[in-house]
Amino acid sequence: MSGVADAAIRHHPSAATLMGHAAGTLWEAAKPVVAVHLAHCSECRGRFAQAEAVGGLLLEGLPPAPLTPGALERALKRLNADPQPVEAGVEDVVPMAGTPAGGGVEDSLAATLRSLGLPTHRLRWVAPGIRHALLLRSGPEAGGGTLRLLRVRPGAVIPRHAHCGAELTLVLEGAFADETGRYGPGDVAEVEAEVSHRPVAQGPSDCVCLVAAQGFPRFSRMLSGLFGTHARK
Amino acid sequence: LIGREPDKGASFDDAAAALAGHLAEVGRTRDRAAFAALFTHFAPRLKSYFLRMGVTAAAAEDLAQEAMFMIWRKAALYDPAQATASTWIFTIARNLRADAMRRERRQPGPVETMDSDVAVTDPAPGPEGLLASARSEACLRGALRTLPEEQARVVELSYFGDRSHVEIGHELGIPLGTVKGRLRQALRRLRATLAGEKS
Repeated sequence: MSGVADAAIRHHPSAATLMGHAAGTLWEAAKPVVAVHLAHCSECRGRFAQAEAVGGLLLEGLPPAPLTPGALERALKRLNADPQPVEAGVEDVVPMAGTPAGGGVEDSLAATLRSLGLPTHRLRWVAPGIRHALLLRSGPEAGGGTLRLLRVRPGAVIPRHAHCGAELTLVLEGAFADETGRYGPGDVAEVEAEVSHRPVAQGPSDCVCLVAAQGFPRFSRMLSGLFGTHARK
Repeated sequence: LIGREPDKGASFDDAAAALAGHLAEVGRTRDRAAFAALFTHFAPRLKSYFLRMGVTAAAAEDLAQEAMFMIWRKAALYDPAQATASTWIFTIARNLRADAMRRERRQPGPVETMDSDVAVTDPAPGPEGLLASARSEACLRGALRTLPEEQARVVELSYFGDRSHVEIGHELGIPLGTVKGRLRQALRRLRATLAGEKS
């Protein structure tokens, strides 16, 4: 994903997804996907900043809730025990994938995952041409989603499937195409619940994606092993 | 919340500028009087925000105290050119809420959770952050008030009340697609207003 120009990004998360991220209510597994996209897309950073400003205005407009007596004094007292202030640069920043310090694609991918607080991935084969790693599984209270890393050989097809919930896919390397278009590095494919699609990896190199999905994928034909679920009719 | 308050116009902008000044001052000189001014203004609003998570009044006040302490610690990172004090403090409260909810959800069992909140990771600042500057904010505030009631309601519910878009749909008795559509329309309208302001 090195040198992804903003102009090369054609597919963005929906406005609702960006607003959900700004509001803090987006489902857990989708957050890393949106965070990586934001790191690469100035247009969405602008929309995101605006959605955060909406949050600021709404906070400003909330009716103040009375504090218990002595609240300010307690707050000031706590400052006495103040540790070092947080300095600029301490904040985590999602590094641009594909800008490794002397490493290869795998190193930069690992750096991106680390910066997101995600575990080191170990890919395993799940189908011909398709390897994946489960990075995150959140409970039903957090949206019940999973986040996976997929590495798909050019030409390999993820069999047609639909979801009980939304699916957000971000391309890190390579490209794929489905009924809705072609997706390259930095692009986000946002698929609504119940929409069925059939992504195909496009060459010349492997397509590496982050895939956040709510609910189990429902494949329209048998595919054992992939995603750890059984196909249904 | 939206659309019911009369426009406070210039006085609101003066107040916003004063708050930004206090926050920058805390960052520069660790000024306790400036912090106290921020506390007086924001702590009751923060408590109100956390109450909407559905926690007890005591828990909401603890979170408000925690947010104010974070503000003290992180104030040096605040850049008035990038965001108003309200917006910056909103992001602190939002991240704190996400952390609190994650702790609450953490249950025994093989449920993986994330160690760091990626939502905390603000994207690299750029000129787009200026959208949130004071002049644009006055404009945005005006635009918020002019949103159709149905859009304003969905925006309000999606920022406060800890509901997913699906749950908002259930509450309002409308399909998920309609919730998302209203949010999209609201954001488009806000953007159009800002674009008009800049040109």
